[in-house]
This record gives sequence, structure tokens and C-alpha cells, in this order.
Amino acid sequence: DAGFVWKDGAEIYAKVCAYCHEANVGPKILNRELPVAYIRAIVRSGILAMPAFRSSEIDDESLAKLANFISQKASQH
Amino acid sequence: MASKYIALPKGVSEKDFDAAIVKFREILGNDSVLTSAEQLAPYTKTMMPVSDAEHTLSAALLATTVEQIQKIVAVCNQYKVPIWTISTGKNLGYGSAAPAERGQVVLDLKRMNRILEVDKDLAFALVEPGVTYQQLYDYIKEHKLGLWLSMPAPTAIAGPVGNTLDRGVGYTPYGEQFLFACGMEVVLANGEVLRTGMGSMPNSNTWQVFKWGYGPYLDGIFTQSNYGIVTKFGFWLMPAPPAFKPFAIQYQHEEDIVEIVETIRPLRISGVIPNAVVIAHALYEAPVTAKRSDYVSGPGSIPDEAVHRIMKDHKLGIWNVYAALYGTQEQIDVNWKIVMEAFLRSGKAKILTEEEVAEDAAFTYRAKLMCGEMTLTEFSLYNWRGGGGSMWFAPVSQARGSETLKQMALTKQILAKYGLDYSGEFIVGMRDMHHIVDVLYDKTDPEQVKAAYQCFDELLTEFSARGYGTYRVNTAFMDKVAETYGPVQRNIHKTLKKALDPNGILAPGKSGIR
Repeated sequence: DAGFVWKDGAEIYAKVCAYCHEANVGPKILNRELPVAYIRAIVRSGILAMPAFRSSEIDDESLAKLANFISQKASQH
Repeated sequence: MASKYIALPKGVSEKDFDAAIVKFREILGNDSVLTSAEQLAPYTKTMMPVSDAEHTLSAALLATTVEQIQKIVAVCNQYKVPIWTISTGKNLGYGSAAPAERGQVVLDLKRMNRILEVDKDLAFALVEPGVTYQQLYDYIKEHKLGLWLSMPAPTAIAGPVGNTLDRGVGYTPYGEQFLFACGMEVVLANGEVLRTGMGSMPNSNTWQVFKWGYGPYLDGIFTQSNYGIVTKFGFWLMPAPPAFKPFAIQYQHEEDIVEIVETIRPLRISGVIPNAVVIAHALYEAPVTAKRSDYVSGPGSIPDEAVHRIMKDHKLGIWNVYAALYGTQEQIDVNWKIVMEAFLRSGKAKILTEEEVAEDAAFTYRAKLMCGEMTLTEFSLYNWRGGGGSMWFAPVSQARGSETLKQMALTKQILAKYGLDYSGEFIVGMRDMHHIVDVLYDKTDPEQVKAAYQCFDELLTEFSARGYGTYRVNTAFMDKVAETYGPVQRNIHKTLKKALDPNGILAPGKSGIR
């Protein structure tokens, strides 16, 4: 009877990030091999028009998976 | 000596706060009590034109059970620690996840996120505060329940509990969210657990089907308030209709709002158009495809001439009505005929069906919002100026054409005085309008921050002077809005507060209540 937990980076990307980053709201972030540390920092602090996401929304472990997913090469998606 | 905390609660010594934190850790475990600057950073990002320092929290507590929350309030009472409760914490433009007052502890219920029940036949849901619309959407789909959600534009990342507790709105026939709420569970400041309505009755199975219960109806006092911590929340869901027909209607002149509203009101009140219709100004829809910087540079609000060029280039009306019909194909056909006749009468309206504008990005996201599909496309509003500044100015209006024009003109005039643009829409209830204006500014520009603050203050002053009240507001202006509703109401709010929360531990400052 546990609560919701994220499965993997692809799921978080599809159900949070993509709504802006694949919809002309935020910049494209996939296939740019953005540094993992940069992604994590931006998610946590937000930047300008982009809201911040708390560890209660995307826990540290899930954020690591998400950052890896976003930063990896196109061929690996 | 620098404190080990990034802020301390008002009137609480560091020693007492230390003791409270130790107890919070005993209740929740170390990992669920956040005090470091790094852990708390995501809570401090707001879009308001004030220093983030004014809304910096002292700690965040990640509770997942009712029992934990009961123990937390006991500690708060002991050390007089004020807590600011959030559910999904995506109250963008209204204060986001940050507390109303510096130093409050955020009780973050995002991880308390179980979907407790969704009943297919009776079409209701019972959920915990951390459930998002996306989570519920996926659950309904997976279990093939055939029910539709009604959500505000931040859909996927927002949730029904937090949104309804701030009396937010959606865009389907169930758009007036609180109207469709049915049954709450609330932890009171004294630690007792109240279930409202039929939920108070042992063995009852009608908590989510009959709202009122017996005696005074209490649910309302737990919305936009600080009288309790809502831990479970029931609400009704709309059965997916066999057919859905979204459409858009465009008008070319700002004065046409009078005709639009006069045309829509009878259709809305009679139920021919059943959903929370939107009448969006060109500048509200433009950011989906247009860039402000392509049309205007330098200071000042955007000139009408540039707005007209945007309309032409991006196929927008100055007013863009989005509405939908729901039901069987026969029902839709009958109502479509009535709608067409009403709008085509004066010859000013341009009616666009889904077939004609299916590729249009603004129409696409509007259609999704009107049928409970996830989209965050409306966040493009935040790109209009960029820079992360946004406050919702949301006065209530009669659904009367002359009134909407008056409000629109006054808003636009005050915004222009401060060099800001009118990005507004009217969300049509039956008799009311939520006149929603996004006061957009660049938060990285200190001059614009100052202008935006003064502009918002003047909007509230001028509107209340004319008897126009605000339905919801960001945390920096809650006291100001509370004042506009007069001393008698404010005193009652305070009397209730004292009775229910004598130590003032629950979100002091919410809606101006302390």
C-alpha cells in the first residue's frame, strides 16, 4: 500500500520535463549531452521561467536517473 | 554567530528550534527533515516581486502518514513553531511552495501520495495530498475507468488537493473544482482528526457521495484557510462522454467582449455550453507561438498596433473564446446548432471547429484542458517577458458584458502605467467570471520588479475601490486582499482561528489570518 514512486529517468522525462521541453516552452534538452551536475542543479533551483522541483517530487536517486537519461547520447535513448 | 538554519521561525529561539528539529527527526527520520540551504533551495523559488528572503523557510518536513502529522502538530504546539502546508506545491504565480512568512516550516505532503479509491460507477476519487493529476490520469487510464479529470493549466505537476484547497479552477464542466469536492479528512491543530460530511459517521459508505452530512457544513472553512491540515480529499469525476467537440470563436475588437459575454451567458446558464469557457485576450495566447521581442523592444507596454500584427501573424483574434460540447453525437449536434445561431447573429464572430484548427498550438492545448488531458503549454506565458516574474491578478466579475469591458480597460490602463502588458482571460462560470490576468515581468530586472510590485498594489487598490474583489492571491499580497473584504469578515476569521488553533501554529498569514 505504498505511495507513488518513479520507475526510471525516461518516465520522469516523459511525465514532467517533456511537457515543456518537447513543446516549445522550454529549450530542447535531449541529445545535447548536457552535464549531469548542471541538470541536477537546474532542476533543484529552477531558473528564470522554469520552476524548481523539490526532492519530495523527484527524489535524489530519481533525479540522478533523470539527469543520466537526459545527458546520454541520442543513440542511447 | 551565524545560525545553522537559513531562517528561524518568528519568535522562536534557535535553542527551541533545535529541540523541535530533534523531535521532528524522531517522528520522521533524518532523511525527511530538511534544514540545509541546498535541500531547501527548491522551496525558495517564487515568481513574486519581493526578495526571496521574505519567504525563506526554516525547514521542510516530509510527512507521509496522518499519525506523523498528529505528532508534528504536537511538537509545533509545544515550541510554537508555525508550519506552512503544501500538497504538490506548484502554486505558481500565487507564492509557489514558499511560506507566507519568513521562517515558517514547510510541511510538505508531496510524498503522501496514495490514490485511496476511484469508484467507476459513482464516479468519485479519494486521494492523499501528494497525488498529482498526472498520477491520477495514469491510474484511471490503466484501470480503464472511463472518467475525466478537471485541472488547472499546470495539469501534470499540480494536484487536486492543493488546487482545490486554494479554490482553483479547471476547464471542463467540472471546472469549478471546489463545487465538486466531497468529503475531507483534516488534522486539526490539537491533533484530532476530523472527517467532514458523512465521513464523521462510523461505517458510512457515503463520504464521497453526499456533501453536507448533518449540521454546519465545514469543508469551506478548510479552503484558502489555516484551520487544519487536509490529509484526505474526495471529489467527483466526470464520466467520459461518448463525444467531445471543442471549438474556438475569434473576435477582432476589444469592445467585442461585451457581445461575447452577452452571447455566452444564457448558453452557459442553461447548460447548452456546459464547461468553464475561456475568453482569452490575444496576448494570453500569443506566447504559445509568438515572441514578444519580435514585435517590440525597449521599455513600455506593447502598443496595440503590435498586438494587431501578432494577431495577423499568429491567426489569433483579439478575443479567443474556447468552449466545448459534450455528450452523445445527437446531443452535440443539437447544441452546436444553438451555439452557431447565437454567435453568428451579429456577423462579428469567426467560428473555428477542430477540423479547421487541429494544427494550431494554442487550440490544441485548450482542447486538452477542456477534456482533462495533460499539457503544460500554457507555461509559455512565462516566456513572454521571461525572467521568472509572474503574479496572477484575479478579480471576480459579473458575467455581464459591460462589466468585463470595464474591468479589462481598467486593468490594461494600470498595467500600461507601469510598462506592463495585458495578458488576460476570463474564465466563465455561470454568473461569474474569474478575470485572470498574468502580471508578467522580468524578475532579474530590479526596475521591473519594483514596477510590478507597485502595479499589483495599485490594481488591488483601484479594483477594490470599485467593489471588485479578488478570488485568490499570492502570499505577498494576502493581507492587502483580506483588508478589502472588510473588518467583520476578518474578525470572524480571527475568532475561528483562535478557537481552532490557539497557538497559531498553522500557516499564520494565510489569507491574512493570524
